[in-house]
Amino acid sequence: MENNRVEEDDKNAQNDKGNLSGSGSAKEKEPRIIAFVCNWCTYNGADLAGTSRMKYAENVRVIKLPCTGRIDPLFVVEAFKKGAKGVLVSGCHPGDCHYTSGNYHSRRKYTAFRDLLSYFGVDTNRVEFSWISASEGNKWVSVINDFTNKIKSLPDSSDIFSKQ
Amino acid sequence: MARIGVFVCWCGSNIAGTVDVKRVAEEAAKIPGVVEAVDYKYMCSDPGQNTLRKMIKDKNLTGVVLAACSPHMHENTFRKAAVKEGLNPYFIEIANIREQVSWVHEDKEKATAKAIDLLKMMVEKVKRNKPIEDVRVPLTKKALVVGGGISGIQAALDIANGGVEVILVEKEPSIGGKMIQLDETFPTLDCSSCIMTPKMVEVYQHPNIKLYTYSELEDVSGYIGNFNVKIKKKARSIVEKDCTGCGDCWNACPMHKNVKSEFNVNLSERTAIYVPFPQAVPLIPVIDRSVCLHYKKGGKCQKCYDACGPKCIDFDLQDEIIEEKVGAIVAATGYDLMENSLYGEYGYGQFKDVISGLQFERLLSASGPTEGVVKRPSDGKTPETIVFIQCVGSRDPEKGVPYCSKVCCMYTAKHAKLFAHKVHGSQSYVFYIDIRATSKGYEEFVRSTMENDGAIYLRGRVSKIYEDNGKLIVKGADTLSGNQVEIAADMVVLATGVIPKKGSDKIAQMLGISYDKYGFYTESHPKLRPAESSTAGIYLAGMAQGPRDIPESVVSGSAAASKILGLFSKSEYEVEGTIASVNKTTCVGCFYCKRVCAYSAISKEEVKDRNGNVLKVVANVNSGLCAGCGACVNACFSKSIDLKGYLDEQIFAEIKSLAV
Amino acid sequence: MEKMNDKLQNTAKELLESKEVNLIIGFAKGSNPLRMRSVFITDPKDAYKISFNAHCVQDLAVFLKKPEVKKFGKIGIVVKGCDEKAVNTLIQEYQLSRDNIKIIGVECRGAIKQNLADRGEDSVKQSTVYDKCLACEVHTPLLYDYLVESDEPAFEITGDVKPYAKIEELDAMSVEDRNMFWQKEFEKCIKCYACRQACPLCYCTRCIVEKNTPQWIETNIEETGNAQWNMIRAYHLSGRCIGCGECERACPVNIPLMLVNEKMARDVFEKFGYKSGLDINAKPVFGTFDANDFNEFIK
Repeated sequence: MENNRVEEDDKNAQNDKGNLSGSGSAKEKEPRIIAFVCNWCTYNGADLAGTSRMKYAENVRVIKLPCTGRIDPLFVVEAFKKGAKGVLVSGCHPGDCHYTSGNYHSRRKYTAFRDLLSYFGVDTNRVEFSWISASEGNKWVSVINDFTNKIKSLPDSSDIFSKQ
Repeated sequence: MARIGVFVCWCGSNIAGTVDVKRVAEEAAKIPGVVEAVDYKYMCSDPGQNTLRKMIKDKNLTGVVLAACSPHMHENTFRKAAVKEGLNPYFIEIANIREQVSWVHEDKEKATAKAIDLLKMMVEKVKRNKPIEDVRVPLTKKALVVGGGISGIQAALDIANGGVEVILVEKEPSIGGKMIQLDETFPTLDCSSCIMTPKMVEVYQHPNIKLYTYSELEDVSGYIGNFNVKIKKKARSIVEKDCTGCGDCWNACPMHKNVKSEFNVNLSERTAIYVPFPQAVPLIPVIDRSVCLHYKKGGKCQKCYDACGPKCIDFDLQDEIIEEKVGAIVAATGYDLMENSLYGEYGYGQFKDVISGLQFERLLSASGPTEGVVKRPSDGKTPETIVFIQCVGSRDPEKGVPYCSKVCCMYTAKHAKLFAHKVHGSQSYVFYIDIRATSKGYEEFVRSTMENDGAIYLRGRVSKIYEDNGKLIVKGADTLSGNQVEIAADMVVLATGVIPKKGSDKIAQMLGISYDKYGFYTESHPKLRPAESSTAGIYLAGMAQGPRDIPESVVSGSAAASKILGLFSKSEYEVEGTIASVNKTTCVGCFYCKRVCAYSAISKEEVKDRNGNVLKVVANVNSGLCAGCGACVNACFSKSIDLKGYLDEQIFAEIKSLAV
Repeated sequence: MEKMNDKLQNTAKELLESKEVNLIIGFAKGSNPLRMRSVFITDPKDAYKISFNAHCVQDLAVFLKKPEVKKFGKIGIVVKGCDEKAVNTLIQEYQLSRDNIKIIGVECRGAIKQNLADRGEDSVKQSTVYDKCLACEVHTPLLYDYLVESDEPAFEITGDVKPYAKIEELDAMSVEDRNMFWQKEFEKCIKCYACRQACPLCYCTRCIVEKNTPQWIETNIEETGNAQWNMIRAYHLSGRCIGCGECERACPVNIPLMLVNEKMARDVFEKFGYKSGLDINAKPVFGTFDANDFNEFIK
């Protein structure tokens, strides 16, 4: 029941899409970047960039998760399917994981996952992985700016997950 | 239908200066499921919170999204306000449009577009929220301390003095650990047993401490607040309550020259019925059944029984299993020293006068085999020249111990100093790699050994030791002068490295805590949670965590105790409800989740049919242990685990809301 | 071969007679002499049906995940070295108890490609066997309760036949060309999930594709959905696939799935020094980590 309700809402959302003048419209030329970040390090690093009034590219949309260990590589595929041009995964530096080992598990999975993406013909320049601590607001800014510039410099992708 | 209320905060001009808050609210109102969207100057203010509460009530909201500052700022504020109106606190979501939008962007158009996106994401997320209840775990306010060395004793005393019952389990017949074997302690040279025995007695007499010596941990199950512990009380062959510790039994034992004393590190003998040392706590002997003639020769010898006044010797006593329920555990299992025989070139075991540092402690000790007179083991003569060798095993990856054992520099300096004090005109040589003397008074202490007590420090390694005419010839390098040196010594003392206590890995597995590649227990966080293991309710203390000296061991024992007293100060242990849960219908029990869980929160659960037949084994999340990291969710192939508050469905909806 | 079959049949017979197992899964001659089929024996009298030759391609371990088979409790199974690695992985992943399985390992000299066998090929040569046989490191199974040794000689490997040579070719391509290659392959996919059904290690009772909240994989047959399925299948088998090749053999549209599986196996070995299916007590590569793991791609 619960799910039906939500699906119903989604249909409406599709219909209303044209009316939303947010970035959902076709007018947008700027590439969309989705960042999956951990709650403890990178999210705080991004907040620090804010409190320090640093400036960076507007393209990034942050999805907060408790830990990089929670960030399923298949989320990345989903993000590409939904039109993201670049995906960033970011969390605590090795040894600093709030949950002791989530980032280590994540690193292993993404190592294999990136190989697989590349093998299937997806440009791994479009997937960035970084360790950004809560005190590295400046690193957040440079990672986002560099990544945005890199994405802008890449040709329009025609890989298997960017077809829609 | 979802009924979502949206609040767009101006934060004065902090947000409104860069983001068109009116437009954000207008766009939000168009999102399906949103019943009302408003903007407000300061949402975190009292009037702001009242606006929030009013709308929850008036519009009968099922969820709220605030486009405001970082959730790390005011998420709790708004959750508390929502709870007052009967809304589940997890139905509040925050779109961070200050720290991550208005403060970092300047283009108003783009910043507004981004704010709208972030808001839409959160609306889609909150629509799919499920009510989450915080987990409350009842607490059994009783603690278990494993290991009766100085850190375990300190932990037990602190907890007991805090008014909480403690069970202290010690494997050996007496508590005291390694510290009671030491002579005087660096850098203050206070006598170890003088400061240790009062603490041991305090443990014994403390009304809140139940002491099980000659006992081992057999099994641990359960979780924080609710551990079930089985303790094996090994048969002492003594009815403890009747024993007076008079000593008639061990004086009568015929086996008085055959067994090496563990306490004196093989430098003296003990009987088959024995107390390890005169100040043992409890002062109750134990029969070593592996050597006692009664057990070996079919019951013929019973001289101790005959000598015993209260007749408290019972040869037929059996091991006993004691079950206890505790709410928290301290693992203070201590350490061992590396085998000296690892270094063939030093001749340990081959030459009687090459001994370990701990043996030298016993030779210095007034309660030791020589009553504190330094005599060498081979012929009982007082040595005039001793060579001390540091880093025997430590900092030597070849021998598997790349780490520094931390205490050897200091105790070697102490040995050299005490030797100089006891044998006038004597000479010490110390071979070292580096001197590490970093705590209060340590550097001065080493300096004074060099300068006041005349110890000669040689930076370099020893290559060979051999016997020549009653002397031990020590050949080595002095790397500072570049010369080869040869010293004719009467005795050689090896500062052997520290390794985890044998069997501490088994204890770790029982407790479900992790240990590093050397076997030392790992902390939940190396810097910020040094007293906690990664498993909730289990705390660490002493050398079980790695090399440390006495003050540090005491501090760590106290730290573990204070953590436990803090835990027990509440009526229940409360954990955030954002934890993992398993769909037991689809779980196939591959247990990758269990492998990646850093908190031992996942256990195997049998699913049975009506007749009790096991149909399958599935994963079960212990809500008291789960920390909510979600690593298990990522590890699950069939997606049979999900994380409350961060459901897969919600993340997909967030991604979808960003569709270009 | 006769000696092998005698030993196989006697072992099976004894195991069933002594009730050490309730079921033996083995190979038997099919209606076509150059095709072998699986056989399930519960009566010792039927043990004579079991036989083995170079046409025993199938990985019988796939049946161990089936509830119809599981209900027999104690099971004996005839396995080649490669298939035995699947048994190891099932034990490692708690899908099977070592106590409940009697492993009848057969020494295998290589399996003849079925398409060639269908055209009458009956000799084991480097040109007639599967690529996995060319790279085989487990002609003798690693773990067994009974070993049936081969009386055939090993075939000659001259080195000019490289197993899975296409992988190097793909690695050398530009990312766009690889994209083209796989798009063409995945275009063919009809999402029949035969690859999953044939895999001894795809044992989930509800596969991730069957989950719809959220919908992890597009269910309709179109490019992204097809690619997504193939991606997830490969990802879920990374560090687990033991290379039996059954998915590829089952694929009705001939997607070269082993090029994916083998590539991942190589990468996992290169990065983490791990090979799957070798040790029932090993920690699976994605169930553990090392603080010094590969870190180069991370900023």
